Amino acid sequence: MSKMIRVDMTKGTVHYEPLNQELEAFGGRGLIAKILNDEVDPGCNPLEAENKLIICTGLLAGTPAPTSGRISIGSKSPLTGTIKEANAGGMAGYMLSRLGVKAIIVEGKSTDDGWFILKVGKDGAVLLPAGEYVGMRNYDLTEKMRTDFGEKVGVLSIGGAGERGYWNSTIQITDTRGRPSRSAARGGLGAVMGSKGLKAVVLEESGPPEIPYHEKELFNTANKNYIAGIKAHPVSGEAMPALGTAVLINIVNALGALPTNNFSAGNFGDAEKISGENLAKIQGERGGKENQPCQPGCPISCSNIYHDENGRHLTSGFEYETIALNGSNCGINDLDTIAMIDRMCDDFGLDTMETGTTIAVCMEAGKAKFGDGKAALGLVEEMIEGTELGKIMGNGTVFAGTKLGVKRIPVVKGQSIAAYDPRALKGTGVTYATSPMGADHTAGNSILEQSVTPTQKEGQVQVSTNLQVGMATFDNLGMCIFSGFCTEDPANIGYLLEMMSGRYGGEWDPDRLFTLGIKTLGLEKSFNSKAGFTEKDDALPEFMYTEKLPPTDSVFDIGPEELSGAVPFKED
Amino acid sequence: MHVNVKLYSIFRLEHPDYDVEEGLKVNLEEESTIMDLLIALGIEQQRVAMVNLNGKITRDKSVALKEGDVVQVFPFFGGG
Repeated sequence: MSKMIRVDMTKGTVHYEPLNQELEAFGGRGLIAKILNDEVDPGCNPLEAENKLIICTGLLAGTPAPTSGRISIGSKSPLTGTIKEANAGGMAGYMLSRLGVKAIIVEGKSTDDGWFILKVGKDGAVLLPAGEYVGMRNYDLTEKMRTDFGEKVGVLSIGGAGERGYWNSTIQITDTRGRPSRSAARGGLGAVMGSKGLKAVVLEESGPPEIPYHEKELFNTANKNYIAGIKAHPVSGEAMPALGTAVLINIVNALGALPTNNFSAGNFGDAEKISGENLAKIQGERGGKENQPCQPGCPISCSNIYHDENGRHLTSGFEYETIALNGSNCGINDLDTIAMIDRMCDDFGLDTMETGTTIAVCMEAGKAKFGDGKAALGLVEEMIEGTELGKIMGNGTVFAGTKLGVKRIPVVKGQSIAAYDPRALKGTGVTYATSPMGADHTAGNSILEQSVTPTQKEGQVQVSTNLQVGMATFDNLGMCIFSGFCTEDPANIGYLLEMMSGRYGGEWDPDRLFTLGIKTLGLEKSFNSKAGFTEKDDALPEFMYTEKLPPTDSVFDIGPEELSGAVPFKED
Repeated sequence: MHVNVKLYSIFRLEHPDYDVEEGLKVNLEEESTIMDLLIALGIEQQRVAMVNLNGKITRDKSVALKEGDVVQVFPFFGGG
């Protein structure tokens, strides 16, 4: 039976408890949806004691299943008011599973504004005073943690953004080199952790976990075949290892869906300059690296290390979404400027995506000119310093846009739209509108879908629904969605089912597997419904229905009636 | 006739002398199709996800090309 750790920040207590059978059936995002439905009032104030922060691993955590070390973090979001799950790579999921812990539930709120660190080791878990860690940014903090607790620790931490309660604030997670470059980024989870008085979680190194396989041989054979499937797929085996997610810049630009100047065009004249191909070329010259694993043993290794013009490390995990939303969407064509924004965001604990869209609405409001990289850096600096404008920006795109009188605000349910303009990629648009997470690029992105023309209206609701179920299922397994590209070949789904049988026993067929995703979406929608959300909230911003997007001249034309057919799942 | 080809992602890495500004100038017989172009480039058609012909996406590789066409060739993609 798996263990979970319950941390009561009000009382300052920590204790272990077993997971019941019902909770054992879920992992990651599904486990979060179940616990939040069971234990948190959906109407609660996200930054008060009654909200809970859940940190957990997936169903295949601790096994050698490829990419199974994702960490899921969830709560009621201060940014959206909805349920929120954000997952990330890095060391946290891997190390937590080695410690035999499936979940950490952080509840209550520390008294007298005291700050704490939760240390989890082989011998137990304990809350320690945060002392001089308070006020530290993520890079300094993780370096000091390695000195204080050992070179091999894994760390989850918040920077100033989370301490200050910004609705745009992340929980950063250390990568395989100990840098806080991976991020549970979306929805302001850093502020939830900060509201409880928890500055960081430090995970100590322990030996390999004892996983109670039902049939280990079956698991191992299927696992080898599944890894071979990942490596044989043209995307996960070829394009992503070579060029990472940034390979999408030129592709999405060619589709006419690359956000440009606050979603006013789908085509950026300087796309080539900020492309993955150019990034690889520049980094080849500077000693940066492509093909880096963000978690141990990843067969895809699509992460990177970015060096500045002097050949020194500037940032890591520099991804497509960050580059597009802080690049083309702000009219900025200089990779070094965008990489600096990425570094500042990781260090202070800001979501790079929400930051990019917030900068762009500030540009639309006249606070800076589109294309002015120096001004963009200045705006991020204002968030870090906490100037009046910086604090407004720190609460995200819709808050800043509304305060500044901007009419074109690219958000759904309070979360900013990812780096695909939904007018030219309508399946993703359906997902933005209907995902319980708000506009989200990992909830069901139709960029993967080759069978439907991106600008056509027909078929997109079904495309989005299928993708949302698939993504929510992988988010239960605790596996990276990039390891799922190969499941377009049914043979690879077969291996995945054998892995589940080998791990948990019983008969696994596709229905049982994908029911994990369906149940999760149902639970999430149920939470949102009790929090006051209705079908009226399942909509894109008004301007995307009326304003034609060049160069395709497409508008989003999938109406509420059709959208109501997406993810038609309910759980009580 | 000549067409101007732009390569992306791994196709570009497979052509180390590829010039980003100029692309590739490819000489083809009249009435050649996108498929003929891929054969001339040595790119297996099952590796091509999408072609952008003069700014318009197409997945139909039997389309005939004409002098001066700009053809962007993309392998399969995904991610985000």
